[in-house]
Amino acid sequence: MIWRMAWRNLWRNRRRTSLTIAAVGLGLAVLILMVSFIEGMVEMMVDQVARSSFGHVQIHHPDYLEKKATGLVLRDASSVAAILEKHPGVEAFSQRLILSGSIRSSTSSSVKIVKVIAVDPEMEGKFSALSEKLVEGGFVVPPQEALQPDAPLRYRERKGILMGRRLAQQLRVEIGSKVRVDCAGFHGGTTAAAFYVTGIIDTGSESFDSQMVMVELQGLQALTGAGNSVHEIAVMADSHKNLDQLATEIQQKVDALGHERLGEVLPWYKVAPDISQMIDMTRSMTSFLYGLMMIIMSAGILTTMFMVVLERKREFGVQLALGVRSRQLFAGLLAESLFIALLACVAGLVVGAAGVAWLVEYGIDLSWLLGGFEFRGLYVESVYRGSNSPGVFYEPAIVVFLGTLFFAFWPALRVARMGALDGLASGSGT
Amino acid sequence: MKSDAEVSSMSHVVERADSPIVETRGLFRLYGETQQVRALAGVDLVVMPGEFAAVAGPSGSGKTTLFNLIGGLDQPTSGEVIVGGRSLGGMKRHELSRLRLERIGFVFQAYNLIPVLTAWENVEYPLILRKLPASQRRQKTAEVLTAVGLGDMMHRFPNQLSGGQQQRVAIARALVTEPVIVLADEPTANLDSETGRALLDLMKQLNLEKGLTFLFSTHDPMVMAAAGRLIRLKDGKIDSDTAQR
Repeated sequence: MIWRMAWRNLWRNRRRTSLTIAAVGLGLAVLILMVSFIEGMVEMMVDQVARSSFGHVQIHHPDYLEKKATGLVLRDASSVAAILEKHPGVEAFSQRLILSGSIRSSTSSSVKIVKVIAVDPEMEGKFSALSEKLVEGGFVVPPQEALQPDAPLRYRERKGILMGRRLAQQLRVEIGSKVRVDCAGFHGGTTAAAFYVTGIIDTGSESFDSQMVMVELQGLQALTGAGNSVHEIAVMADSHKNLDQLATEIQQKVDALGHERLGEVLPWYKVAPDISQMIDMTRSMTSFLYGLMMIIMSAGILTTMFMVVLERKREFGVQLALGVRSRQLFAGLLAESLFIALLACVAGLVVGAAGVAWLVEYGIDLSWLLGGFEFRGLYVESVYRGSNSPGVFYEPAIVVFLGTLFFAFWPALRVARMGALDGLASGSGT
Repeated sequence: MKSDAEVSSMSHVVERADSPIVETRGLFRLYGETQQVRALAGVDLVVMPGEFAAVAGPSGSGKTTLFNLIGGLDQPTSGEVIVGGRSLGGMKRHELSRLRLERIGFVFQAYNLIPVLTAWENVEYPLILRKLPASQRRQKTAEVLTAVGLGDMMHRFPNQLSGGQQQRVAIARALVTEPVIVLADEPTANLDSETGRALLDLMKQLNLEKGLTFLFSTHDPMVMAAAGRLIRLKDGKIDSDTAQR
């Protein structure tokens, strides 16, 4: 009977109930959209982190991250690579030799300081988003003339280099142009070599496009005397969850190779805690939104339920006089707010889901406002897509559902404390 | 503190014909911060089983206050109310609720039906609160609705019934729990004289046929004339208490 009465009472004032449900439902839909947007942004940042240069997990010499010295390399990189090839949960990995150097061209007087990253193009291409940013040429490929079997040896030994469009403009070079790269060698002194521009990328990140070049790994290893050593192995996992566990598992296998602490395996958020903090900060906006929603919702629910209490005061008095217990009146009012919460959640989820579907499909292009978002050499897209992970829906729905019940508690408590005479003496009622 | 079961068991205490259904002793009810407004000023009253008694008096004479105290809706400033052999003074809120649900039937001047329930559901409601099995509820509800002449209107909502019909539903609701007394506060005041007369006849008939005890307040001469006993209140005291034919 409590449920039947609550349902019918709900529709005594159809307009008010509909407006309350619409307001709470709309609030939930907006909340879902905002949480989806934020979560989508976070997922995109994590994805960008993984796909740009970080991967999900990185392996370095134990002191490399702190000192960044050229000599702090992973000396048995091929054994580590063999571990990674067989390890479950590893989708791809890329070995990198990272050197500081300078670059110059014959067409420009300027010399630019760059980070020279040597990669295996095939491995790097498996997860790096950089290959998608190519605007000319290929991704770390040799010059055309080096691929001709009948070409003279000096042509066949030519090496390709990939650079950002901005750097290419500064050096006044284009595809096919020759550049000279000087970088630190492994046995003292510097190594100088000529490269031919075979690829130009445009990531939208100023620092990335003007301060980084990529060359083929084996070529640079041979030039610098690095042997088969690398500075970094970036690992792409099949999921961005449980990375601590993945790192620990790989670490155990690396340690078992027998070398004295050959390399240190860390998830990306320990390699770059500042990026991780920024992502956490972005995520914390969700809590702020939940709080804001609570305040907005409290106004709607409290107003509605107190109006109900005032309007039906005499009716509650009559029920108390008939022998209805206070707790039964309390339960009745909570049942009404439960219906409001359920209906509002259904409405909010339907509208929110439609909005999220649009947000996932088309996203919001904020390039006119922000341009590409760059952080610590990390380029983040300017088209923001929502996330449609289950949490985007059920977390806001739970918050709104429980919030609605919570804010109905106070008016319901007032009814429960009311005496029969208080109600009977009031002018309102039937 | 008495449990619900103990309160419920009171029903076995009272039904002796020589025991009062209601008894008030030295009942005072004062209002205001300095308690200078005396709604009741020493009312001693005994209502015996099967009585059809009217409490009359001008506005402010204390009729409603007396009914509220007998019904356990209010607490006296001093004095004692005994219903069914048990003093209400020591009862907790939930015990009073239980007493009203099981032993007292209320009929209000303004009908006060629950608007979202049909006539049938309004009458069945107290039985649901008493957790009676559905079959018993159906039987009792049909019985009382037929007794008050509303057998064919049981599925109408209050706003689909006339004032007289609504008051009949209210009487059916008061009767369905088989209370020891029905307290009716000016039950005919909102009705035209013809409907009021019909309702009074119905109450009288239930009193005669079922032996139900009625205590109702009124200032309608027709209702006063129909009462078997007329208690006149004046300034919070019983001015006269006379048996009528």
